[in-house]
Amino acid sequence: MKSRSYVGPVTSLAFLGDDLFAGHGSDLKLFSPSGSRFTLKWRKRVFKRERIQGIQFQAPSLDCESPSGIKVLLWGGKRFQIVQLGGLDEEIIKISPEDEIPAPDWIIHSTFLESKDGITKIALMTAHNTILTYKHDLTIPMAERFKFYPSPERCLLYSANIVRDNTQSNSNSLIAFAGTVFGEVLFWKVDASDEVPVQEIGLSGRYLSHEGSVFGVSISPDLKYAASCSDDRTIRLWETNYLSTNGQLNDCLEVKEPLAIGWGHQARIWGTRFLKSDKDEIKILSFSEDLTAKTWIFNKSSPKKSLVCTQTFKSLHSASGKNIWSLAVHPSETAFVTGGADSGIASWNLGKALNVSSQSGSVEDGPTTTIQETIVNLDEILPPTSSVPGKKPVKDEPRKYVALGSHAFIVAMSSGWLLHCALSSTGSKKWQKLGFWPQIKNTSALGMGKYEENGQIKYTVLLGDNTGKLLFLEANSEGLISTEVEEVETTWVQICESRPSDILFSNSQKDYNSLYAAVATFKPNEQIMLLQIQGATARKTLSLSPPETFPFTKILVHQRGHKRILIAGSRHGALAIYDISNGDETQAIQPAQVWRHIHDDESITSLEYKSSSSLRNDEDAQFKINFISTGRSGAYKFHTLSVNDTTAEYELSETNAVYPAAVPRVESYQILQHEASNNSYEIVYGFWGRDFVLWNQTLKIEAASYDCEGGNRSWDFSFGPTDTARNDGLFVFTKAKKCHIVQFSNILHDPLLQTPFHGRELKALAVSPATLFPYQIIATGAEDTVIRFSYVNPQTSELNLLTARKTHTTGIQDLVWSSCGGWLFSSGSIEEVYCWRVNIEGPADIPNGASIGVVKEAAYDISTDSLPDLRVCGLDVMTVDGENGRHVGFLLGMVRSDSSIKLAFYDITSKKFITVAEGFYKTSCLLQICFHVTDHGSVLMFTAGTDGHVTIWDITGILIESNMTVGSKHIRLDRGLKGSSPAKLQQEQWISCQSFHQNSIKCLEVFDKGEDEVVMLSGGDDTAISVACIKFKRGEASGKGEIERSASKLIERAHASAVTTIKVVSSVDQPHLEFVSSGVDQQIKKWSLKIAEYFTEVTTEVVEDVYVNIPDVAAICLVESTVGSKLVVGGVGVEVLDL
Amino acid sequence: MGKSSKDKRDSYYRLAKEQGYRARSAYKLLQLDAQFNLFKDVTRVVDLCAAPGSWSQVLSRSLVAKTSNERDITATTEKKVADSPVEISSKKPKVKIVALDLQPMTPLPGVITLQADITHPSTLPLVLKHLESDSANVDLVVSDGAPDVTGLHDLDEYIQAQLLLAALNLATCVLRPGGNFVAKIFRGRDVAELYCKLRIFFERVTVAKPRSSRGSSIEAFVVCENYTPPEGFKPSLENPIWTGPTKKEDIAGQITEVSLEDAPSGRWVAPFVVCGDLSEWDSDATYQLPDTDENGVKRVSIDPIQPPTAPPYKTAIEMRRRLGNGGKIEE
Repeated sequence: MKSRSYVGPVTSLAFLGDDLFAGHGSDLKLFSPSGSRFTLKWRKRVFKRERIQGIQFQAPSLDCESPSGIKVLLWGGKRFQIVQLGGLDEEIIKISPEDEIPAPDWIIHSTFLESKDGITKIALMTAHNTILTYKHDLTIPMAERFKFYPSPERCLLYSANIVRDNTQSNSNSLIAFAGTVFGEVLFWKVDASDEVPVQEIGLSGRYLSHEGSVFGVSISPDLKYAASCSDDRTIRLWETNYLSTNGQLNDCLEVKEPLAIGWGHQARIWGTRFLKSDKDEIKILSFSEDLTAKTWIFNKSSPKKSLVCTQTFKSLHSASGKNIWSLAVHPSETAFVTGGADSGIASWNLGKALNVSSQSGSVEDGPTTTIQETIVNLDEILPPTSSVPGKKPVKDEPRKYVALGSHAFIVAMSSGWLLHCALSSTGSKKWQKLGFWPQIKNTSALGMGKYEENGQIKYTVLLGDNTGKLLFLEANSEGLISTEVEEVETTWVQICESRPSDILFSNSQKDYNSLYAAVATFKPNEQIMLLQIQGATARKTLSLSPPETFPFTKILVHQRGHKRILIAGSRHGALAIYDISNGDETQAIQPAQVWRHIHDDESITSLEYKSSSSLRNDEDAQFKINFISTGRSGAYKFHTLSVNDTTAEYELSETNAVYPAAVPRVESYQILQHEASNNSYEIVYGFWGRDFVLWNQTLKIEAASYDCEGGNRSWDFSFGPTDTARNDGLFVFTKAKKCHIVQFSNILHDPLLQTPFHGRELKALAVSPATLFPYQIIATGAEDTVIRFSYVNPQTSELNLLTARKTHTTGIQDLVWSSCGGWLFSSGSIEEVYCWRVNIEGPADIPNGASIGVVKEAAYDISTDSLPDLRVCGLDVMTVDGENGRHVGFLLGMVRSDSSIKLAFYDITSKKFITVAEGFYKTSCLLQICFHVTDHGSVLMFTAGTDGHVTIWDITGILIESNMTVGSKHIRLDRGLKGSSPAKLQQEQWISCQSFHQNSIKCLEVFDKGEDEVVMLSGGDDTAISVACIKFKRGEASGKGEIERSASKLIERAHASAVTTIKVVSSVDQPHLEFVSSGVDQQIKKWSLKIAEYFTEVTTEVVEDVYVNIPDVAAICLVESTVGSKLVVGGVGVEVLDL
Repeated sequence: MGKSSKDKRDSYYRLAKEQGYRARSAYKLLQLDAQFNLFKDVTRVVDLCAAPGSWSQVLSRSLVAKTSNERDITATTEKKVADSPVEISSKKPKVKIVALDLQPMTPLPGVITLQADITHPSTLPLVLKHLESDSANVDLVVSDGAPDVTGLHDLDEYIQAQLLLAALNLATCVLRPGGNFVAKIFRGRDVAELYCKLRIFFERVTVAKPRSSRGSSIEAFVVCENYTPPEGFKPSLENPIWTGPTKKEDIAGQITEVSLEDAPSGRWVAPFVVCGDLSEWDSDATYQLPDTDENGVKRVSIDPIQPPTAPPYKTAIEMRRRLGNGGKIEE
């Protein structure tokens, strides 16, 4: 069982020039810059068991440019390693975990020392505030390589920083700062030069005032200052007075007041770094459990004793997660990187944070997204005029915008002016007055459609006046096209009978160059005028009859051969379909079908075409339109509209539904190609509170945001119009009657060096059956409440993310797939049980760009007298077939922390749960449930919990009562469910209830051996594994299942601590059963199990035993891939191993 | 979560309040005692990392003052006899309970509470002085100490192991031969190394999980019985064992793992025992509590006997509240 890939906390980071070293588990990784991004060059294992907690470099000379000759010191736990680099290429660097060196105690910090004899020498600070030196001389015994310096005060440390005193040339004089578990910061000095004899040392300083454990200490480069951070959520800055102290015994300086205190982190602070400071200021960077990094400035001349926070870096790490564990600042101090508990590594731009006085309005060619903002004083373009001479001029204000790509927009003013503004990338603006019409005063009807002609991007702009007339204009980013302003007057056309409220353009297919625009009026039931537009003229006008309570918000027109289908979205979350193929002006077209509550009762904000398909050819009467909607419900959804032209039937299904938490008010969803990297990204934009947010859904990070004081204002946004310009965006809006222009560039910037995984520990892991996909889908659920869908990449053995859902509000307890792979069931605390529909989007060949769609179809009802923290600890599911053999639903079993059991039928047609049976086991918490259908046609249910017992229930009778029929290995429901109230689960249905463990049964697996035989495997908190072989038969008198014979074996002390997961890994036809087990001791054991005939003998043997770098192992699953079977081990991180 | 809903989630939390214990952990020691008969013939006990004092309460009630209506008695006597524990212990004059913690602890009847660092050499003579003894004659040493958990599992398990070893070092200094030692342990990655070390000093080492300790927690308790130090072993707090080198000569010993005859690798798995009967409350279960008690009186959720100790971030919270500004402290 060889480890192939790892995700888990990033515990150390260090820059060597522009290259970044990262300690990820026991692996050292090198990331090198290529273009504007970092790419992973290699990963090498450094330690057998320990994580890499620290990285230090030593260059032969300070101005060394080449990495050859540089030594790296790596440490973790009680191990360290010294590596000579020789270069950065994978082939050159030789690192083997066999070369790890044991330290006499836990290493908190370490540093290289000067060496006169050419033998590498280092100093170690241990967790007991003790300094040791180590000489890397392989010719002498291990113990003799260490030199011991007696501690001035042996106490337990959480943190330390030791540095060589560089003010004294060629010296091994060491300065040590240590943070204790009791909230003290200790300062002491050691001369570690070979010629200086070891002598008793006293503390030089004791810095008091922290109110909790000190988790991080650092010393400023000039050694004059130290910073400490703590459980008490503060950063404290100290003067070291390192020159005035001499380390004599009983000469300890006691400091009770820090130079300055920094308040602001919302949780524990793990570390600080000094940045280059100047004469008057000290600059510090900190990182915390609250998932932020902050920059701080202390002004030496300020009378205030405070560190002022100058910038907060909101986390790029899983928002639901915890902890930034590591941080490194680029030598240029223009950027820094952070490593998270979520396995992610992210880069950040430091420039702005450091230079607080610099203008925030300049565009940089930096690696990050930039924002340029301007407030326009329109008085300069339109001097205030008074309509009536002598009267005070009326204040003009922008009313309505259309953004024409990322560098131009048109604005309609309340006075009746229409203006065009062209923006250069340097921020200069060119205004053009398009016209002045008193009849468009206070208009709200301004619409724009984009089209391409001869390789040029052009826009048709429609403006509505107060009488129902429309003005047709053609524009591009430079201004109006081929129309003199004077001529414009002639193109007003009467379209509606009253004042238009909205002009909605269809974002049509690419190959379709005629535009549609729907014109709505303020009168609720008035017809919607639909214009087919070419250039600046309407070729055809149709009218649509709106459904009841259906104010139009968006339209989408799909053309397929002669067929034209219009999809309309409403302000109340509904969708309507119109067949507009054959309409004419004389008669209003009625909606073909309406679907309500697609986005609850909230406005549909965009409709985008995705793709279409038919069974045979373009003229096929049956075809499918795939489109995307967004809504103020907070979601973007993928829909498939199935059209049967022969019968005029329409069927709408939802194939994907995502609620990006960072954008509660979604305005649009786009898939954009990043030209430079050739990656495509899903971008969602909308509003969150006061902010306009551009959210990169693919990377799960905020691309940019801008505080515009909320979305209830006149605004428009557009990405660049061409593929090369999509990286830019333009946001124009009105605030306080003024026009604000915000230009975003580099929106598709990817700051992640390493993709994040779950933010907290994984609790459940379930793999989909291999039947539908070429690669099995792995669903993982964690304490961070997120469910992630991934697959094992056969090339890298890494888990690659397909999609994720954060819908649960509590940590995930269990996950189970339906046997067909189309549905997933998930459970959490407070009785949360959800049913998820999983669809394949696009080609099923996942690594080539396909994705999956996931829709939450239903939630199981929460009982009325709900208990707080009622956890649904275990789930299992069985397929229920219908008359024609196709499945009609599932039987879901749920066991809960109040000892209750619920059995529910999930109807896939009505998308509803119906409780079939319920009852209690005893009063102890239940943890596990497994179904088993015997060959003789009994449905058995195995339950287990904290009392160490496994109970086997026969629930056949209950299922028959509710109208199901049970056959050999299957359950059927031919007609509807019977019975209005759920049946009662009670002791009478027990076949057996037997104690297998002393306390909690942490895992239970029932393996079908065939011929009514099962092997039941369980693992307990009591460190034991229990193996039971059971043969069932049908009871002759009762008809209930009975145990014909059984045998069991208890493997005591199978692991050193709790056994949390067991998985059978051999198939039924193999002569010996093989299974793997794991637990909190982080060992994976593979067992061989032999069962003699008639169960006369059960023997087990460990055939393999390996260590994994995953604390709190919670689950294992087995994945088949083209390159062999893989074990996926999940806990605090995930490791993939060859089976 | 309010205290009423916590009552339903955590039955031992509710029980502790009803029976006047300062923390739910009291039941862990009670259940350990029920299994191992730890308090039999015990007259001298040392409770390490004792704050807020629930284990000392158990020791006091079990060894000193046995009363039927415990809440009332403790509530009143605690105030009255706080400064004169001798008065109570005069009932059973021989019993001595010494409780140590770095944090101050509200006094308890019959318990000598000392604010001291268990790793500091000066603590030993202090403990012996209060035991009124000049030799190691303690029957039982208990420790329920746990560190601030950071979330880095290897570090947290290391710190917890150091706490346990510090407690062991003190125990080796004060225990009489044949005495017992009980301590909290995290059953994590390297727990087998710790078991192995404990086995060197005790005839029997068992790892026990009381039913009142949550199944989802990695916490358990080592019960080490019959203290039998290896020949020639000299206990000392100046030179503690296995807590990192204290002098040059220690280094060789610290970089090679300890080993037992039956555990040559330095790893040995202690037998596991669950304490507490199945009829007792299940700390993982959620209970539906009746709205009224057995007398038909409406159930009222009572306040904890002692509010939780002030967290280290108390000042930070106060600062945030004082400054308002949506929790932002930036200027």
